[in-house]
Amino acid sequence: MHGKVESIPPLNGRVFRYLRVGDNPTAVKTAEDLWKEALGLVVPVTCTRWLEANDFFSIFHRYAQESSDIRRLLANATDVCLMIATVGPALEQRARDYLANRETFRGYMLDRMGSYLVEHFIRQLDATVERQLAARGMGFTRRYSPGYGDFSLEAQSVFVNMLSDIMPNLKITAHGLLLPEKTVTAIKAGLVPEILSG
Amino acid sequence: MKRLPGLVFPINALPACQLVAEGINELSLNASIKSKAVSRYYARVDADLLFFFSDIAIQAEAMGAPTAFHSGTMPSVKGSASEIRCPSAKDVDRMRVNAEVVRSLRSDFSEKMISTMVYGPFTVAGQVAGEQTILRAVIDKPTEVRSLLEQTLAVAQDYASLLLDAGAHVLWVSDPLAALLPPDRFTEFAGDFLARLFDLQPHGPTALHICGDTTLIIQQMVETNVQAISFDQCMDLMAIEDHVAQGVTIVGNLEPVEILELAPEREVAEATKDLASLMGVKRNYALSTGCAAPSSAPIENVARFVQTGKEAFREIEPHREYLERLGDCVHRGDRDSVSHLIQKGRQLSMNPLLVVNSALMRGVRKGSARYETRQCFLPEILLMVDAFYEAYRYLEADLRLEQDRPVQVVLGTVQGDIHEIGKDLVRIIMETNGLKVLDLGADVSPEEFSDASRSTGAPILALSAFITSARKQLAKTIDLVSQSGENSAAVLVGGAAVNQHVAASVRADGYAKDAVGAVKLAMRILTERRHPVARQG
Repeated sequence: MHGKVESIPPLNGRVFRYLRVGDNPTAVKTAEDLWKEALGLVVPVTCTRWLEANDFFSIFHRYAQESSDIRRLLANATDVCLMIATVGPALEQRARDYLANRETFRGYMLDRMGSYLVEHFIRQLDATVERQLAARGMGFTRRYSPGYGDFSLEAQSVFVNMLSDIMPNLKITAHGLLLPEKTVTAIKAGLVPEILSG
Repeated sequence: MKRLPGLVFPINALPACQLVAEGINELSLNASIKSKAVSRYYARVDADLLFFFSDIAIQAEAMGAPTAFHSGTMPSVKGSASEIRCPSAKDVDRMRVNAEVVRSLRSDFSEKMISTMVYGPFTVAGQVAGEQTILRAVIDKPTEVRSLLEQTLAVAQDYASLLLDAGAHVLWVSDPLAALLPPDRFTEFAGDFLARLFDLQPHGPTALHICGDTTLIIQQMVETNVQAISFDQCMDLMAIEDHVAQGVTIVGNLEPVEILELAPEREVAEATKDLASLMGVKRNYALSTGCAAPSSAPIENVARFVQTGKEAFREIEPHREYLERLGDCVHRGDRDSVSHLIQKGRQLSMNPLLVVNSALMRGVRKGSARYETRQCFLPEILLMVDAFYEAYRYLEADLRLEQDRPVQVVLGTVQGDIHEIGKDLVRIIMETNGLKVLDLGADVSPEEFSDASRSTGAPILALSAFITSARKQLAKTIDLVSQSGENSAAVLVGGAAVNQHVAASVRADGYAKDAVGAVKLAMRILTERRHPVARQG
């Protein structure tokens, strides 16, 4: 399921702190211009796919079995939601172009903005999934991504396979790196209420 | 009245002892031998400020501290005074010797400035009472400490007056023990007494040297009303220059041991030129050593230091204002102003290397110095880098020698990892700090790293890894490179997937947590590799 991107974050204090722009007037002005540019370049796409817990373990087999963190996270799960958010390749390409052109501040800032934005969109998606689970009277685990703890980064290859029909431009390198780079994958499990009330 | 800004000189005249047959013990007690030594020394070292070969024991000895004299080493205090004396300086033999040497220097070098070398009241109090005793007493017996400080101040004032009356121009005070005072006690136990000492010469040049890191007490040092502050070699002058009032001269700070004493003459000249290029644009700067030149420092090194420093200042002086403005614009990341200034400067037909070293690199390196002390963050550094490149593109064609320089750093992201941005930042900041870098890009195999390292002979290999799965490639690359033998490159690692623990486990030679740290580490390795003798034993 494609998610609807609910809002684009404004350039506010929180973003400035993340970017560490400081109070240099040139830095602030340039960051403001770059933010507009970043918003023009990003093509945010989010989507989810729901699996029953048994199917998750079957499909992610090797990576799930090898990860004690995942076994612990999903011990009482009924459903598992695969989540993915990306901002597309244009922003990171522009960042590389800036760096190649020796416009270091712009390249670095744009790259950081891409990281901030993709995190923003996965947080939005995460909140949406939580609302959906809550509406069904279910609890939920925290969001957990490949690369966290002992959950292998290479598990991202399963995400790519599972979502190739909806996101055909999503690729993965031989070592588990997603392309576009500004892409985040995660899982979140739904828990039945009895488990929550102990 | 002569002033200190613009002068070039080493602190003290200890290498002069090499120029007479008598040992340091005899030299310290005989005005004629000492005068001969320092005159011969300054005939070879064309310093702008002359010292009379001072030793730190002189005042404590006069106040009763037992002192040892040896032929080959400086006089040293052996223990605390059993009974404290406060003699008049004119009645102390060794103080009269030094006054006599001052008169002799005035006669032999009439156009030069002569300096005293007086030791600060707190340092002498520590020698007389015992250093640990005095530092504890600052906390639990402050009244007794102040009472002793009144005595050591009186002796210092009398000795300073003797030297000034003999013809010394500059009242130079060295107070090394004061660096160990907590900053909130500095004024009470050192600063106030130093201020009273400097009152001897309210209008004449005065200077204060406190060894070590004085970052936390700069303001208190300025408040002694001293006219010049001499900084230890451990201080980054560009990080602190904005904290020193414009009316106070910044003095320093070539490394006296690793460079002046142990490095070959050629490298003394390089290090001096580097320092003079960076700081020479400041109106309130005097080029000197970070502490006293050691007695065994080769005199040709000291002479070369002074000669090179003066040459650098002569080159900078006609364009100083322009260079300072341009460097400031680079430092603020103001590309428009930089572009305007650099085009204006080309019409003046200035040496492009002078513009690069004294303006462009100054701007970036000042930023790096502020970054190290957390006065700014990476985005500001990058603005400076961009301003640097804005100017550099106009000068690049004029700097032909760039192409002929050997590669110093081979850089890349390891196999399996395609992240480039962090690695690119490292390259860019290294280049703006004067390093020649060969960037192999991303997803680089161990064999490619090894081949490039061998073919360039670069002393440094810098590996980046931004994903944890790439860590094993770090180890593979390092193993392959280390097989090439004892002259293999030093390997630095960094990136989001690396930390100190990972660096140790892959047996890297160094770890840098960010681009600015990588440059600092690279510079240190390059210096160490030039001076392997300094690191042995």
